[in-house]
Amino acid sequence: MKKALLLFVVVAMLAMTSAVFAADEVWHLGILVHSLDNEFWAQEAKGGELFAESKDDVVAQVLATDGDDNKEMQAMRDFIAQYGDHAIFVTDPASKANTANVVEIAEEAGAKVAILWHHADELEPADWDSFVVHMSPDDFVAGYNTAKHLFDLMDGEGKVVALYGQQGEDSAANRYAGFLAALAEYPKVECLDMQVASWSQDQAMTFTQTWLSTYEDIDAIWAANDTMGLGAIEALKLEGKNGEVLVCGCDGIAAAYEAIEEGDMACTVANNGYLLMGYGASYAYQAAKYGYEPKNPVIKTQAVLVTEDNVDEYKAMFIDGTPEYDYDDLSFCVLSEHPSFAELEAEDAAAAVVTGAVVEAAEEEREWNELIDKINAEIEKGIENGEEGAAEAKELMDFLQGLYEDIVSGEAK
Amino acid sequence: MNLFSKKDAKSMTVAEQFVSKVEQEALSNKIRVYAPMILLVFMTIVFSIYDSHFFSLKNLVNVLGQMAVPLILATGLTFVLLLGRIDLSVEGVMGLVGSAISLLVLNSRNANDWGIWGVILPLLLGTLCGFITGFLHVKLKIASFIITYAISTIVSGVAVLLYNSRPATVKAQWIIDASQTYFLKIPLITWIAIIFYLICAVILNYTAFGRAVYAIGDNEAAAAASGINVQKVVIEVFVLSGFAASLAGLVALIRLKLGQVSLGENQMFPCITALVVGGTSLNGGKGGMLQTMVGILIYMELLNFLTIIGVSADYKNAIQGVIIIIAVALTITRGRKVIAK
Amino acid sequence: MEKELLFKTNNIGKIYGTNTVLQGINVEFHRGEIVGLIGENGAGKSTLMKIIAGVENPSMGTMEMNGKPFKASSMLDANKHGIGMVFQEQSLISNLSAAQNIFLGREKDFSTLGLVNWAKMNAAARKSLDKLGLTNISPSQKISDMPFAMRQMVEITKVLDIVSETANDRALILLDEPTTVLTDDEMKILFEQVRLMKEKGNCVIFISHRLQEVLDLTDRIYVFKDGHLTGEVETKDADEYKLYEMMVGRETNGEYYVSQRQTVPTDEVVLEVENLAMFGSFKNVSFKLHKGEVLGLYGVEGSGKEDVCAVISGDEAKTDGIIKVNGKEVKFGSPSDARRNGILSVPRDRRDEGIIGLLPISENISVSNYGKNATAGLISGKRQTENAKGWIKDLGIKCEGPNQRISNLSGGNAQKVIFARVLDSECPILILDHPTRGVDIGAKGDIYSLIRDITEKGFSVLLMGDTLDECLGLSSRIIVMKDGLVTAEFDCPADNKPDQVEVVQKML
Repeated sequence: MKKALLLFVVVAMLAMTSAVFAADEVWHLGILVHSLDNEFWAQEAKGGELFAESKDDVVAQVLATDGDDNKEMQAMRDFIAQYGDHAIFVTDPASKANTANVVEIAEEAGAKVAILWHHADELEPADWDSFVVHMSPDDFVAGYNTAKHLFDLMDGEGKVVALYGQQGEDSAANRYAGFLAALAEYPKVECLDMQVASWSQDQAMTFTQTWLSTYEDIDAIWAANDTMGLGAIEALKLEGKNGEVLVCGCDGIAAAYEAIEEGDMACTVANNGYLLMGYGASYAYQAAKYGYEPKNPVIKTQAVLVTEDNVDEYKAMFIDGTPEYDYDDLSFCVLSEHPSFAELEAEDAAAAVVTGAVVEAAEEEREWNELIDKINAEIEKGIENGEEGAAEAKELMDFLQGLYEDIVSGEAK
Repeated sequence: MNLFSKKDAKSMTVAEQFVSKVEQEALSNKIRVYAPMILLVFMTIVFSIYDSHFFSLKNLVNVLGQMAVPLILATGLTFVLLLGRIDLSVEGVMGLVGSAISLLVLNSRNANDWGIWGVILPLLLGTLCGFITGFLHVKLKIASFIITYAISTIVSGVAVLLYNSRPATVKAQWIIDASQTYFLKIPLITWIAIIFYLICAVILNYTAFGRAVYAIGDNEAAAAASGINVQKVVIEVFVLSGFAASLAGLVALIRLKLGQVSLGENQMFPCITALVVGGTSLNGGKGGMLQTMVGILIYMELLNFLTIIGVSADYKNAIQGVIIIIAVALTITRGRKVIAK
Repeated sequence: MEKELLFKTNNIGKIYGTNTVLQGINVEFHRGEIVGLIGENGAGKSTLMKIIAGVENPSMGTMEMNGKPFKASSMLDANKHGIGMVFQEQSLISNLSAAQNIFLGREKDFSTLGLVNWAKMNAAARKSLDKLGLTNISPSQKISDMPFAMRQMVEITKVLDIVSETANDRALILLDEPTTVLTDDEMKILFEQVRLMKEKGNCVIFISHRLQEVLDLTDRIYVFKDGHLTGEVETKDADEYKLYEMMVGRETNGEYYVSQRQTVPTDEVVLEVENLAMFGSFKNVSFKLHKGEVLGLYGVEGSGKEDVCAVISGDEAKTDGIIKVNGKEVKFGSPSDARRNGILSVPRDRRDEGIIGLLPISENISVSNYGKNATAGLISGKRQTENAKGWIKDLGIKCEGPNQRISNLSGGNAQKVIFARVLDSECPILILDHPTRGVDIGAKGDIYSLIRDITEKGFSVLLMGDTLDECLGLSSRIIVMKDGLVTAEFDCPADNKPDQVEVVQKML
């Protein structure tokens, strides 16, 4: 009975000490996304979690902001209150304007943050310690590529209508700018109308129905995201014109891949939320742990045009499975053809980081193992002698108590 | 009477003046009741003259098709508004039911193929949500806008969990066929909406339940004193609204095929606006099914027309807002001592 | 007594917390009689009615109906036993028709498969209305389209129809102050109906503050005071004076209105209206109000007197004429405009318009004149409380203190708080709209003294009295209105009040 009690106490103490010890070394990743009810946002959150799973010392938590500035700020403050400077963040911000608040809150707490998609004008990562990196797929390029693909399929001639995203959002504006840029290159393509469907499938379907009753000869519908594209396709299906009128999307959600497979959708762009948020988190982590500073902290990430030619490959990777990335290779996520990035620089930096990480991790593991061995030895000794007297058990407890206090005071320092 | 000059009015006895005043008030009340209908007719004529596409058969069929979801939601909400309550949970319930159906019938995500049960069970689930909402509202005496908001967030969350952030596409052929079925050139889903609307119109106007809804909305204490089981009626109204939201979820899914919470997004406020434009009071007791239909038609026509004439997106919202204010201002009763709350 | 006993109570009592509001009540009601219940406010008569009607449960005692023990769990339950109550506050649904209201909650009788046959229901309603001689009311007419008195009749029809369903001509009908909103003509019709019900063998219990009505209508009168039954009298043996005595145990005579303190009007005109008119309500109304004077405005309901006051207090818009305050023409868009010009109105319907029930007494006093207790726009709670304490003392308001909620005060004391607000606002011209309505006799005397106090201080009062007697007693001059026109003006010096018959002749 006594022995069992002792064993219990020892184990309990050990658990406590190791927990405290471990807390010292764990980085807490706050994944700030709008919500999980949108497939792309869920992909992003999953990407952040995949990164955390790849690291032993990162614990991730998804913080839904519902696209609300105040909720996002409150979530960050709560997270920082809990984990202090061991909090790191990757955020798909609630709004463009709120990124300034995000950075200020992080700066105050000394927590590193990677921001995706948009950031406030004149808020540059270079000017802030905490703002590690700004990453986003190139919306302009995405809009341009999808439009160009549609126009090529039309043999550079015909009539198109456009479904715009949410008014006031950068990505909506940039994708549309890309569309207009492509349109300018094809003088024989005419844009009949543009409507703001606010990323909504329902609105996109309604607009498309109205178009179909107003215009006789629409050849293609350019949609700024997949959901709107799918809405347009539903309207076309009612007229039996699906596949006949070309539709594009953007983002790369599962239903869009299916639509491509079925021939209803011409193309989409896989924005790859996994990659975006996973690598965003990785940048923040490297910066927090090793003080790493990317040389070029404004990054356009790779995004692939998905058509019927490559849809199987990407569907397998993104939808049926999850992609596996080497998150220590920070250069992997960078859009290679983007001219503003010196690929080499990014690679160098990443290499340096990889080395640093490996060395430090090995050293730490060795120290930790030594400590564990020592404790185990003491415990065994205590248990062997347990029968003979309480004195030794008490000694053991004192030792553990001392160890515990050491760790605690060490932490306090 | 109002054509008389001031001098004539002066020479009347006070009693004569009174009679003429009462007549005028009755007239202006009638105008107020009929104003939305007049507005609807006026809009239709003006729009048709302005752009010939508007009155084309194809476009009218379009408008009818797009009307299905708002009409069903608004029909359910009419009862709730007549009670002087509000139901903010309809969007969430729509999303939940749509998502659940998409996962239970033949779909792209899993191997389920429950056939008609895949539709019936989610409809019952959504109706149950309405019951829970009404029950909590009545028994815990929580204001309807709070409890329905809470329920809405809960059911949206549940829906997202159901499809685990990746919405399923409906593959069941009978649902796909349903979306492409027409009767007299009007889509099946619109017929569903119209039948539901007509049934509800009968319930509201020809049953004791319907009268009780008016009575409670106007004077709850008096209704209770008359032997009406107020709690029961209130719960029943939320059940009805829950069923309407569920049906709207089904119809939206038939239309869009992709089962996700955003099926319900931005559906409720346009409906409530349409109801108010039609002449239903947010304070309860005033309004009816005719007003609901008129309000929905005004709203849909306006939306459709602005798209047809290609109004720039920047002005569209503003124009919509202004027209709503004008319509509401024309239709509501105002008194000197009354300030809207 | 030969008449058959219908209902009796044995030692009925009601206790709220530690407060006994009704004790040891033994009353009997017989078939074919009309019984009056009178007593000051809070004497317990309304509580007794609510217990009989099933709205409240008695704390002690038992009841018998038709010789059998009776206990009602709800109003509906009481209805089933043949007991129906017509409330002071009407309980009709304004958006439904008369028929739908009469049969609200009882639609089953007209339904097939859940669908109501409106034609059948209207026919049944027609029958019920005809039974009461209400041939001018259409069953399909909406309540909101009816004049007030007609609504009251529908309400009575409804109650009668409900109880007669189970207790044909053995019903007990409770009427709680049904006449307050009725005109004389409408009252006559009501009385006819009540007598008709009586003749058929029903019993009607009639509560009213208007003793003359009680004397006219009833066969027997129970008098209540402080929760006890203090007297019972055959109506033929009673007169108004005797009832007053039974109710309050003190005489009311000329001194009741504190006439010795009536002021003599000065020459200074504070308010003057010329040819004032409101389309459809009154026209060609001209009068002058002098400083320190009580000017009575009298006429039947609907004679236009209420609207005259409403126009002067800024509540309604005039369609013609001129209003002058201190010789200067003024135009009001709202009551606050009128207040800025020194005119303040004390509304008749205290609960709806007068008091702000959730706020304490102190707030209710200073609400018309917040500025007085404020520095740079910020209200000093302390000054407000001190101010309220002063008024509570001056006016003898019975309360726990300035922070008590006004809704917990009795009618008379609440009215005093409103007077305190009026005085606090320092508006020199006051419009008192039935200041003693619904106030018990004791508190009435206090209010009369108050009116004398304020006129001595130089305030001017435009008064709409509750009764002609009151109006004559308080005013130094009265204006009589009929059908929207001023028909006469009488001087009423303290020692020489005009003959009431003369006034009534101008009024009717």
